[in-house]
Amino acid sequence: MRLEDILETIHEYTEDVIVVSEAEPIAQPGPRIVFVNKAFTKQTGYEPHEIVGQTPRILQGPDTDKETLARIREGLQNWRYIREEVLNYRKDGSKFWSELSILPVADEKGWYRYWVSIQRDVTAKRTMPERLELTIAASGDGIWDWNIENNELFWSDRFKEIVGVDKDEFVPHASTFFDRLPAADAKRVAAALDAHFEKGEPFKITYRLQHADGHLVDISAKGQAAWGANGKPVRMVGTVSDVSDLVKAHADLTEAQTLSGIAHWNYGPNPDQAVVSDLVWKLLRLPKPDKHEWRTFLEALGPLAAADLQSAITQPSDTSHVIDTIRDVAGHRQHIRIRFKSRSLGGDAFYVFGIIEDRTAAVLAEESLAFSERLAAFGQLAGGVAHDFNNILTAIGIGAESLELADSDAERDEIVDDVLFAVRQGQQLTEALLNYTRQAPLMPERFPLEKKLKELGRLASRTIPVGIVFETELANDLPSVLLDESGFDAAVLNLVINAADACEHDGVIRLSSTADEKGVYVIVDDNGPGIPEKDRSRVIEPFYSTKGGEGAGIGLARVHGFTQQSGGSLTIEESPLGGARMVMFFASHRDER
Amino acid sequence: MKTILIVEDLPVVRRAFKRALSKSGYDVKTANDAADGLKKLSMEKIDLVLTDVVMPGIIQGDEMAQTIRNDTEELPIIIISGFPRTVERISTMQDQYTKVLKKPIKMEELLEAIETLLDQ
Repeated sequence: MRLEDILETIHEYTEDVIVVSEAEPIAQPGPRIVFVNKAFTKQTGYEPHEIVGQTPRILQGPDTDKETLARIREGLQNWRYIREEVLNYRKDGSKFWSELSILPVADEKGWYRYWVSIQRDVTAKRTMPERLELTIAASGDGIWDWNIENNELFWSDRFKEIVGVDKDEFVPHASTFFDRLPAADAKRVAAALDAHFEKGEPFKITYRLQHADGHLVDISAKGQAAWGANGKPVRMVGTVSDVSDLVKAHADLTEAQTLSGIAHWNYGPNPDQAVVSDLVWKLLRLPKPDKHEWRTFLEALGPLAAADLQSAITQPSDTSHVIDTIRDVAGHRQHIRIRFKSRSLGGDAFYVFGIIEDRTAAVLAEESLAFSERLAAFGQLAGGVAHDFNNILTAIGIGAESLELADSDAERDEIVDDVLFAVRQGQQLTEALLNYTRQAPLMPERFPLEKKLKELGRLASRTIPVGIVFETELANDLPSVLLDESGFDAAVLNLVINAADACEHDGVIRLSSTADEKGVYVIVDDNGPGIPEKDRSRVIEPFYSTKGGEGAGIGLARVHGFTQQSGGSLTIEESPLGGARMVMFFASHRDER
Repeated sequence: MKTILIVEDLPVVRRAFKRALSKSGYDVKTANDAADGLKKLSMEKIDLVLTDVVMPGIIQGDEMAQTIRNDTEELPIIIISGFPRTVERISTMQDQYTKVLKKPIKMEELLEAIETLLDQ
C-alpha cells in the first residue's frame, strides 16, 4: 500500500475534520479552502463543492469570540502553530464548539503555501462543566479539590461561604481544612479517608468545621479519590453541604425524647425495614443489637404485646393503637406503653410510626396515691365509726341511767325500746363494718319481703326527726329474692336516715317498693337538696359525705357494697319529690319465683 | 324552772337527753339542727344550750355556738360531740360559760356540767 493510499484512508475515515487552505491572503476575503474531508461535511453540513474556493470565515458568526479570532489571525500572520477553541456555525445556522489546530505547511523551497487545520467538535466538553456548575449551584453544595501530593486545596465559593471564609483570605492549603476540624471529629475523618484510600470504601461522613465566627457548622461530605500509577491516592474531589439545621432538628428530637422519656420507632414500607431509635434501647435497658433490631424489639416487649403489635400493624387504619405491657428488668417491673399508627401506602405497603414510653414512675405514683387515698379513707372510717358508736353508747348509757327515774311501766318500756333500738344500731354498724371488710360473708336467705319492708317502715318512722313526714308505698306481691336479712335491714334504714339527714324541716321521705320481670326495686325518695349528677358516683365511695368535712360513717357506701354483694345495684336519681332518689335493685332468681 | 335547749340530729340520742334532763327537773326544748336551734333560741327564753357538732345543714353546732357567743357573753353553752377529732379541735372554745364534752357521757357528768354553768 502506498503512503498516499494510507493518507486517503485517513481523510476518508477520521472523525476529525481536515481543512486545507491556501496560505494567503490572510486579510479579507481570507485564505481559500482547497480541500475538506468527509468529516467536514458531516460536521458542518457543507458539501465539498459548496466550500472549496470559499474562506473558512464563512463558518464564523455573530457569537464567535472576536478576541479568539484576533489571536488566530495574529498566529497566521506569524506562521505559528495555532490551537484555539472557537464557536462556529453550521450550514443550517446551528452553533458548535470547534477545537482547531492549525499549522503552516511549507513547499520544497521553504515557502509556506498551505494551512492544514484539524478541527474537532468539543461542544459536549464545553457544555458539561456549565451543566455541572448549574447543578451544583442548585444543590447548594460546596466543592473541594485536594491535591494529596502537594496538599494544594481548592474550595468553591459556596464552600467558603458555608464556613464563613472570605474569598480573598482563603489559603489554598489542606491545613485550611484540617485546622478547622475539631479534634473530636479528626479521628473519624482520618479513619474514613484511610478506608477510602486503602479499601476504596465510599467516603461519606458528617463532621463539624469551625466557622470564621467561632461556632461549629455541621457538614455532610462526600468525596472520591484518584489513584496514581503506584496505587497511592494523588487527588481527591468532593462536595460538602451544610446540615446544621438537620443535625439541630435531630438533636432537638432526641432531647425532647430524652426529657419526656418517649422514644420512637418505625416499621415499613417493607417488612424488612424497621428503625428502632437508640433511645428505645436505652429505655428498654438493652444494648442496641447489631442486627435483627425488629425481632429483638418484639422479644423485649414479651410474646403477648408482640403478637398484638404484629397483628395491629398489618391492618392500617386511621386510629392509633395503644398497647400496655409489663416487663421484668433485673427483678423490677417496668410498665411500658406503646402507641402507634399504621398507615397504608397503597397495595400491600404500609408504614407504621410508633412511640414507646416508660410509665413505671407514673404507675408507681398512681399506686401510691391510691394507697394514701385508702389510708385517708381508713382515717375517715375510724372517725365515722367512732362517732356512730359514741352516739349509740350515749343513747344506751343515758337510757339505762334514766330507767330508775321512770314513773310508770309505760315510760320504762319506752326507754327500753329506745335502748334496744340503739343496741340494734350498734349491731348493724359492726355487721356493716364486717361486710365492708368482707370478713363476714352475707348469709342470703328468703324471707317475706313485704312484711319486712313494713316493719322497717315502722322502725324508720321512729328514727327520723320530728317534723319530717315519712310515707310508705309498698307493693304487695313482690317476687322472692335471696338476701342477707340484717344487711337488707341496715341498707333500708341507712337510706332512710340518709334521706332524713338531707332533708330540711317540712321534709318528706317516701319508702316504696315495686317489681318487674328482672327483680325487686326498693326506693327511698326525699325532698331535700338532691345530689348533683357529678357527685353521684362519689357519694357511694366509702366514707364520702356531703355533710361537711368530718364524714358521717360509711352510709351510702355500705348500701352500695351490700347491693353489689347481693347481685344488685344502687343507683341515684332525681326524685319526683324534688330531692334525691335512691334505688336499690335486687335481681329475682328465675328458678326461685 | 330553768329551760334547756337540746340541739341534736340523732333522734335516739335527742330522746335520751330530753328524758334524762326532764326527769332531773329541767324544762327541755329540742331542735334537730343548728338552724332550728337558732330559731328556737330567738323565740323562747333559754337558760342553757346543749348542742351536738356534726349535724346536717349548712351550719354546724360549733358555728351555732360561736354565733350565740357573738350575741351574748353569758348564755351557758355545752358542746358535745362523738367525733374525737372534733372534740380536740373545738376544745379551744372553752371558757367560763362554754364547756366542751365528749360522747359517750354519763348522766351524772352531764348534770354536773349543767349545774356548774347555771349556778354562775
